[in-house]
Amino acid sequence: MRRNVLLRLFLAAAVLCILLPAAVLVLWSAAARWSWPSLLPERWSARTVRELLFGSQDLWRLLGSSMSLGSGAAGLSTLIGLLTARAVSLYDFPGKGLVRFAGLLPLLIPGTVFATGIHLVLLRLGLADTAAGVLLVHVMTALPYSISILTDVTAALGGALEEQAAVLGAGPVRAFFAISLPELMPGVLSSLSMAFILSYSQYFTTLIVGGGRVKTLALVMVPYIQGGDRSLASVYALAFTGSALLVSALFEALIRHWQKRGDRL
Amino acid sequence: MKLEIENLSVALEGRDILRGVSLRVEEGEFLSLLGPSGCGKTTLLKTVAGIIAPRSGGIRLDGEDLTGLPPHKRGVVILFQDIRLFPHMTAAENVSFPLRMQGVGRRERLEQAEELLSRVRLPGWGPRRVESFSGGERQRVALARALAAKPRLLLLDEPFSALDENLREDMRALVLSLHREFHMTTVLVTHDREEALSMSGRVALLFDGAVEQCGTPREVYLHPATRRAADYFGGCTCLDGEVRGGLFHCSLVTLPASLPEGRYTLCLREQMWRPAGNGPYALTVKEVRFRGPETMVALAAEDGTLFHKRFPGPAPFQAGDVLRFHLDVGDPVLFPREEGL
Repeated sequence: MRRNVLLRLFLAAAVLCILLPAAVLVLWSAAARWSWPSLLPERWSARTVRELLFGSQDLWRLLGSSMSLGSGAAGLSTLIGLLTARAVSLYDFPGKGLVRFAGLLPLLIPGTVFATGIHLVLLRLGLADTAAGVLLVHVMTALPYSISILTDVTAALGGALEEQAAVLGAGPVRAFFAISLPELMPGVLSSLSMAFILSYSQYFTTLIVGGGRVKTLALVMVPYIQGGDRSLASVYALAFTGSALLVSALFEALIRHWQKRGDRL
Repeated sequence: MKLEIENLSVALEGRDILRGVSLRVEEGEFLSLLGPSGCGKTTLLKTVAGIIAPRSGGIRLDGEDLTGLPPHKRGVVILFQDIRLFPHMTAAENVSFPLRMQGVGRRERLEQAEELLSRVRLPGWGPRRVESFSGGERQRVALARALAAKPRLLLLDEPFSALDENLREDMRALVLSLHREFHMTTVLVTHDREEALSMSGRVALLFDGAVEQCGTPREVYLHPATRRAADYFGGCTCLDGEVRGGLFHCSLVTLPASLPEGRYTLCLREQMWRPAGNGPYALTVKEVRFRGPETMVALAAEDGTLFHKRFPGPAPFQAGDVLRFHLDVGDPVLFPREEGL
């Protein structure tokens, strides 16, 4: 009973911490004039919404490029993460420790150093200022998180169920898709969401590697925040958060659908 | 299906686990692999199923060489000790999994699954999720699933050790009745001596990665091939002596023995001691331990040799009592004396 109360208090505090700033964003984006010490804006306006939808930046193209970059990075990072996690937790091979360490390396190197260094490499490869180059860098940024999430769930599941499936007549690929993958789904979903949001909120690496030609929502939003137009920055932040939540919900819905279909097969 | 294992050797992480195991299991036979933990029993099963690759040696099933085949093409099913049901599936989906792998249609395989579930006394349990099942129920679902695969060879890896004692007897009876019904060549791995002796047609004793002895339960129990085999079944006391002129002499008895002269060890089992008021042997009670259906009594001979004998029920003895016994050695079990033991 007592624990229940504590839990509720904690939940309420957490919700407040998220909802309160979000509410402020909503107010700011609709405020035409809001000076101290007024509790609420003095004048309201739909200027920011007009600017967002029909302004100098093409919102739909921005959303499209951000979302496809994010989904691509999420998918690739989760796929590579899953393969790495299986290799590291289910097989023994020489250099296993090195692979594990190399997977986490991008976390240890500061983003600026990483972005500058990788830019030189991508210039040589002809991938600088291209969407493919940006995608590659986003995947590298997200990979350590995907690898560590998926290694945990893969190691916890182990190989025992696949062994059982094999002796019951399932080949390695079927054993993975029919038995292990459904069990790993919560981890896969975490990895997808994590990688998506990391890619979605990349600013510095996108700027350096994309050279300003690859435009994303984050890239356009940051100058507004720095430029002092709080109302416009707020409306972009809302669009940013809303679209990110939408994609996360989409991932979850897709996986639910896939699981239901799997049950019926 | 007839299983032939020939000179099989397996090493894991540089350590020899199996050293030249040879074993034959006849069509429809129920064989137990008995041995202490760490002797390589489970490794042997996994190697036969193709999960572990052998270093050398051959495995044949009805003459077909299995060594190059991946596990899913061998038709060899293991029922693991830790049960391994697929947690995201219902009981029926678990049982029908092997049929799904064989390409059987959904409706038909679910029907077969229900049929098998009722065979293991879980009729109508198909649509339930297995997460809520008890240990015994899970074990029965796993058994039905193994049967659904129609294995050429069924391998049971200590399937009863995780269950309660009461449940264990039930499961043993169920496995035996299903074995009679499906007539499936079966190998049971166990470290439980009674289980091995009571369930199987033949018992193979495995020590340190090699077969020590293989024979019917009576053979391995009554005529152990080595001192180690005799010791493993317990309740035996070994007496050192020697054979001279067709007779074995030791401190307690003299017996006829048609063996070459030399130093031998006689193995006495507890049931050879028969209590009798006029018996020639006077043994002193040293310790009495009541164990429910039986009482374990430690007895000392005049020369100090200690014997253990079980008496049915609460035996009315106490330490210091002197009891008289006959000794019926019957066909004596004699081993050449192993020096250093």
